[in-house]
Amino acid sequence: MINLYKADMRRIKSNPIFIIGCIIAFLVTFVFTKNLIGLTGSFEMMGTEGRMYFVSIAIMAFFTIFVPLYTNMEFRYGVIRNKLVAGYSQKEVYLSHLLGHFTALAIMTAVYIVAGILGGARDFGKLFGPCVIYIISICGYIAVMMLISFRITKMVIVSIFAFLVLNFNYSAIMFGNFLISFVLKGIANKIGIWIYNMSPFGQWMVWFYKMAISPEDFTNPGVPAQILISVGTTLIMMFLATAGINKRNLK
Amino acid sequence: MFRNLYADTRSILSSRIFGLAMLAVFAGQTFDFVITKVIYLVIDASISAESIAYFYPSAAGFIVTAATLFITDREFSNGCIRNKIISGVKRSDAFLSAVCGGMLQAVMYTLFACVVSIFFSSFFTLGFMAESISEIADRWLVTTMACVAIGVFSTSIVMMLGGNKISYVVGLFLAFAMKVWDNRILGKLYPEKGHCTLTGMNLAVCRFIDRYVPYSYLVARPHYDMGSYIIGCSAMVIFSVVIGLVVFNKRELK
Amino acid sequence: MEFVFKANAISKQYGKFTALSDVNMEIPKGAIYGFVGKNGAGKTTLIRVMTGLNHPTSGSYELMGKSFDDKDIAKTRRRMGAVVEAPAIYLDMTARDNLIQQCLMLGLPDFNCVDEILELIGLADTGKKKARNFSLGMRQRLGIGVALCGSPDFVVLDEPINGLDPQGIIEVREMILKLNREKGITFLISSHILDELAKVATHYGFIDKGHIVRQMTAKDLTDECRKSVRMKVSDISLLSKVMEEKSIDYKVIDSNTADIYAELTFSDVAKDFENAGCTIINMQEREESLESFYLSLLGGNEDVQKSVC
Repeated sequence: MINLYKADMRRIKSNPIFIIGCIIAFLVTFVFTKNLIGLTGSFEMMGTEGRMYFVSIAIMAFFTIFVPLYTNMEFRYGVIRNKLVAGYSQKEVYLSHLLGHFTALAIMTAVYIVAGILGGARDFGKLFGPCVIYIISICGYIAVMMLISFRITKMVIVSIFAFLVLNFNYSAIMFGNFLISFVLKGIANKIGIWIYNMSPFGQWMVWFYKMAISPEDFTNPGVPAQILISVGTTLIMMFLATAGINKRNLK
Repeated sequence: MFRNLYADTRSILSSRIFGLAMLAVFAGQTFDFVITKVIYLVIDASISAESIAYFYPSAAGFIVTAATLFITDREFSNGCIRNKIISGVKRSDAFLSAVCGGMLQAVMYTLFACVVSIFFSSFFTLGFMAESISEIADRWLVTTMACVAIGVFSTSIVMMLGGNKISYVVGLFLAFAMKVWDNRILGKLYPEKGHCTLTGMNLAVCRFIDRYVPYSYLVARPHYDMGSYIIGCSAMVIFSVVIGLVVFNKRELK
Repeated sequence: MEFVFKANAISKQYGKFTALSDVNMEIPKGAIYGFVGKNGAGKTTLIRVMTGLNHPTSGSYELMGKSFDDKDIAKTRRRMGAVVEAPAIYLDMTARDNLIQQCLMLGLPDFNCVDEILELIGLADTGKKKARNFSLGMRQRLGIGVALCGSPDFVVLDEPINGLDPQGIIEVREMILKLNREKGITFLISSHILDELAKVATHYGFIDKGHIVRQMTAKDLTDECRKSVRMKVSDISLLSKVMEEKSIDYKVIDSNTADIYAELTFSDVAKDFENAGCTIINMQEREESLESFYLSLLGGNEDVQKSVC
């Protein structure tokens, strides 16, 4: 499988969408963090670290586009056949892609951090924790995208489902804010908070709200819980994506 | 042209995805109703029709974009567009026919959503408390116009980029990005607390988007004159068709 | 005899439709096995089962001595290359990059074979051209090149000359013969172009409606299809006597017809038969082509012989 991973990484590193994504990530993070476009009002009040953390939400949007396009290429071009003929199983192909995307996420995160530092972010104590938690939650999101991209072979349906998940995440979090603030009480509230944090958008909101708007913690289940939720989501999605996959007949 | 239009319309109406989109509209409305009902039970209140009648506008951007993407992309993924061009159909006719198909889909989905909404509002709620019939009709009319414009825009993008993998994501990404951005603009123009603090260029841009970009018509109740909505939707349709025709006529079909 | 592939009662069902039914097949090591059948006969299905893309509903097979459900089958598959249906290549990469990618995936320590394969498939001068800008023939060749990465012992080619020009067809044929001769690579080639297959194949398998109808060597096929003179005579026993005297190979068809497998001069034959007291009623030159043999074995006929093998 290590060979598959090396082959995938070679392709990811030369993929124009990934390269352009990294360039945009750098530029946008730098410009926003340094506030080169003269944003006023709430953006100005966020502070450097707040603005840097704000733009990190774009990473989620990027992987919504990148993961389906890249992974579904296996089926679009039919190159998964080469891998199966050479003796690899579909599970191994899936795992190599997943690891490849995690690596891509790490690369993009490194670019983002460098751009933020160059843009003036210096309070690493304030940033480190939220960034790490958010990146772990994106791993769970990538696992969801991989489930869709690997189980469904038709590109247009993959694309629709991927954006459905993104839309659902957004709408659910907006609705969740209302529910958790005004409706759910007691144990229902705690369950609601845990469900809220299953989405990387939810976890992002928790820390963004804390950093840039108010120190109130009404949707924060705590750091260990957030990490546990993200890891749990990743493992569940991996299981769903690989259960019985080796028996699947490819068309 | 009309023969091609008839063929395309027939193909759309008999396609599985058309039925699935209708089912998605119904399922979405039902799901929204169930969730709202549970919440209102918890807070011990009665549901007014306004709480559940407008699920479709919030999801319309995505539904219309996804459905038109799927149906229009078939032309390129199956290679059927080549058959049309080879058998003498003009490129302009093929493009316009696809765009009309996008419009038709948008109208059908919105009409169906309206019927489903009326059904749920009539039988499961206390009725409309804060909106008159003309206001309800206005809202559905504006929603229909916005969906038609979005359907045309989405179809044009797929026709212009068809066969390219980017076509799968551009329309959907734009629909999502506009939804998020419009929500933000709405929050800035009409904040819950206090008054709008935007000035100058910022204010002008936000107002323009809120007034003339059809995606923003789906986010809130109509709060401009009908003329603005007609201008906004017509402009989007005209731009999409004109640019789409130019690009599609010139592009190489693979 | 050693076999690279041995199928034992393989069946494949898709719902109610039976694509393969009790298929038994052996591909000897070092052979160029021509796999022939009508459209929808089950050639690609069997190839897909053989290459691990699909799983058989029942039955088993061995690949280079390893059973298909052996946990070490993956290592055996590394020694196999295949082009199944359309060539599987990255359209956004050059020919060289595609081969490098395949080498990386196979875990090869270096890419020294890339230049040699590019030369072999005739794509050495494509430079930075991406595969999406290749013609159909070039993509086909690149697909074959990808299958040849890692020096496989067994290569499966599903209609490899689809889309190739006459020059390309000759080049592919020469390449197959060269690799078979010099490196001992076993080939399985499925094709509809029988004349082309006849120029390379050492063994044949004929499949129809999911059954293997016949397996034979090239020599057996040549014997079935060889040139003959069909003679209709007044007395078949006298014909036999004349043929025995002249040590000429012949075959009696019915009570007054026989096929003679030799070059005959009419005047000599007429004289011999006159001396023997036998009258020649009719003489006709015959040659069964591979096509007519194929049609007689498989073509359109509901009484086609079911799995003999």
